[in-house]
Amino acid sequence: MAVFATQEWLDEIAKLLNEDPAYAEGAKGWEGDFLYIIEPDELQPNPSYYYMDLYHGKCRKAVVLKDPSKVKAEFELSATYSVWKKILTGELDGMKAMITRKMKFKGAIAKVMKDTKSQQAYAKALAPLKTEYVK
Amino acid sequence: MWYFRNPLIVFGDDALEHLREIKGKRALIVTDAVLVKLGFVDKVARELKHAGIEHRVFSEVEPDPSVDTVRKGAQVALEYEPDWLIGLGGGSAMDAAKMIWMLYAQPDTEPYAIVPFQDYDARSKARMICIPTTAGTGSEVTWFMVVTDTVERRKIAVGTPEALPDIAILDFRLVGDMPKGLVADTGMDALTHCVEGFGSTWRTDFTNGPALMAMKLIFKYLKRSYDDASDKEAREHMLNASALASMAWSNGMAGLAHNMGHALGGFFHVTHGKSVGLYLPYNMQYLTEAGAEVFAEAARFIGLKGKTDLELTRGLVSGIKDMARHLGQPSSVKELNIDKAAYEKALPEMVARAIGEASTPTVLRVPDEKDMERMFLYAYEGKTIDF
Ligand SMILES: [Fe+2]
Repeated sequence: MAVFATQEWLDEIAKLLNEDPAYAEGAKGWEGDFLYIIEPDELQPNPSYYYMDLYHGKCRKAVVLKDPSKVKAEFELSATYSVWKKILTGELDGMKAMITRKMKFKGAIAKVMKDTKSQQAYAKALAPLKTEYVK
Repeated sequence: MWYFRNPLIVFGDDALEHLREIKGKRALIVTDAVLVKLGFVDKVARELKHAGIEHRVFSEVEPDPSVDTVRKGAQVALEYEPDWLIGLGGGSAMDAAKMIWMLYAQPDTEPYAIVPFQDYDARSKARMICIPTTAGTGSEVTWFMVVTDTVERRKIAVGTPEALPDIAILDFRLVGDMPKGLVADTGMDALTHCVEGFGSTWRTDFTNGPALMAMKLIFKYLKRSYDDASDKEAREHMLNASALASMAWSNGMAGLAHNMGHALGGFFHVTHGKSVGLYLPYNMQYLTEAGAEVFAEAARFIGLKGKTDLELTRGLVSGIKDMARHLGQPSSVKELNIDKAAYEKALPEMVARAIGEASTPTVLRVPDEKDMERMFLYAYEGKTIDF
C-alpha cells in the first residue's frame, strides 16, 4: 500500500487509469491537467505538491513536484493534509469540502462540470486504490 | 462543519406589506407576462411606492428559463442599476431572478457555471427578495437555480450560497387564484422536496425538522388545496409547507426523483413538478429496504400505522401514490403520451445525466447505470420496482 501523495502512490494511480478500458472510454473527451496542493497542518508540517495530466482517457503524467511554480496547470486544488485524508477516506464529502471552502478550486469549473462522464470513470477506475497516510 | 441557511421569512396576513419597510432606491422586478396581466406586479409596485422605491419590470421569463433570458435580464439590471432584485412568480421567475442577480454582479459569469465555491460578491450591488405565487418550488428559500440549455435540451441545476434570497415573502393571497393543475404540479414538487431531503445522507437535525413538518402539512392540506380553491387555510399551509420542504433539501440534498425528472424535462415537455412527482414513488420503492428506518420515522410522524419499518415505508409510498392519483397526476411516463421509441432513444443520455447529478451519490442506495436505466423503464410502463 502506497503513502498518499508519494511518487509510488501516483504511479499506482497512473497504472489503474491506464490499464482500465472503461476509463479510456469514459474519459476520452477529457483533456486537462491538475496541480494538487497539500497545505501543511498538524499531520504534515511542510507543504507538498503533485501534478497530473489527464488526456483523452489516459494519464500522461503523474508526478510529485518540489517546486509548483514550474508548472502551469489548468486546474488547481488545494487543501490541508487532514482534509485530503478525510476526503479520500470518505469521511468528508468532496463537494461539502468545497462549499465550506476547506478545499479550494481554481480554474474553469464549467469544463469540469460538463464532463461528468469522465469524472465517474475516474472514480470507478480508482476505487481499488488503497492509500496509507503519514498519521 | 456545515450550514443551515435561510432567508428572513415573512408570512401570514398582509405579508406583502413588509415591502413598505425596506430601504433602497430602485428595485428590478423579475417576473413573467402572466403575472403582469393578473395584476400581481401592480400589488408589489404599490408596496414599493410606500417605501419610496422606484421600480422597473423585466417580465420576459418563460417557463424553464433559458440562458438567453437570464442574460437579457442581467443586461436590464446593468442598465437600471437596482439595489434590490425582486423575484415574483413560480420557480422559473425566482430562479431567473437569482441568476440575473449573480450576472448583474459578475457580468462575465456563464449561468450554467454558477458554483458554490466562487465569489460573486452579489450583495455589493443589490439584495434579493423572493415572492412565490405558487406553493411548490420553494425557490424563495434556496440558493439553487435551474437553467435550461435550449440547444442541448438540458436542464442544469446550479447554485451558490450567495444566491440565497435575503427575504422570502409568503403572502397566501398570491396563491389563492392558482388553478388546479398548478396546485397539483407544484404540490408534488414540494412533496418530493421534503421526502428527498429527509431521505438524503446529507440530512441533519436542522433539515429533518422542516422536512417532517412539511410532509405532515402536505399530507393534510394538499388535497384540500386542490379540491377547493376557496380553502384559504389549506392554501396558506401549503405555501408554508413548500418553503419548509425546500429548507430541508437545499440545506442537504435532493435525490433521484429530481435527477430523473430533470433528465426527462430536458428532452420532453413535462413540467418540473409533474416529472419529479412521477418518479418519486419508483425511487421510494428502490430505496425501501435501504431507507426503511428513515422513511418509517416520517411515516409515523404523519400518522401512518404499521408494525415494522418496512410496512410503514410501504405505507408512505402508497400514500404518495394515492396523493398523485387524487391530484390527477400521471403514474407512468406512458400516461404522459410520450412515445416509447423517443423515450428509449433518449434513454442512454437521460441515464448518464441522472447519474451525473450531484445528489446521486448522496441517496440511501446509490444506483449504477443499469439500475438507473431499469428505473426509467419501469416508470415508463408503470411497473412496481422489484430489484
Ligand atoms: Fe423541485
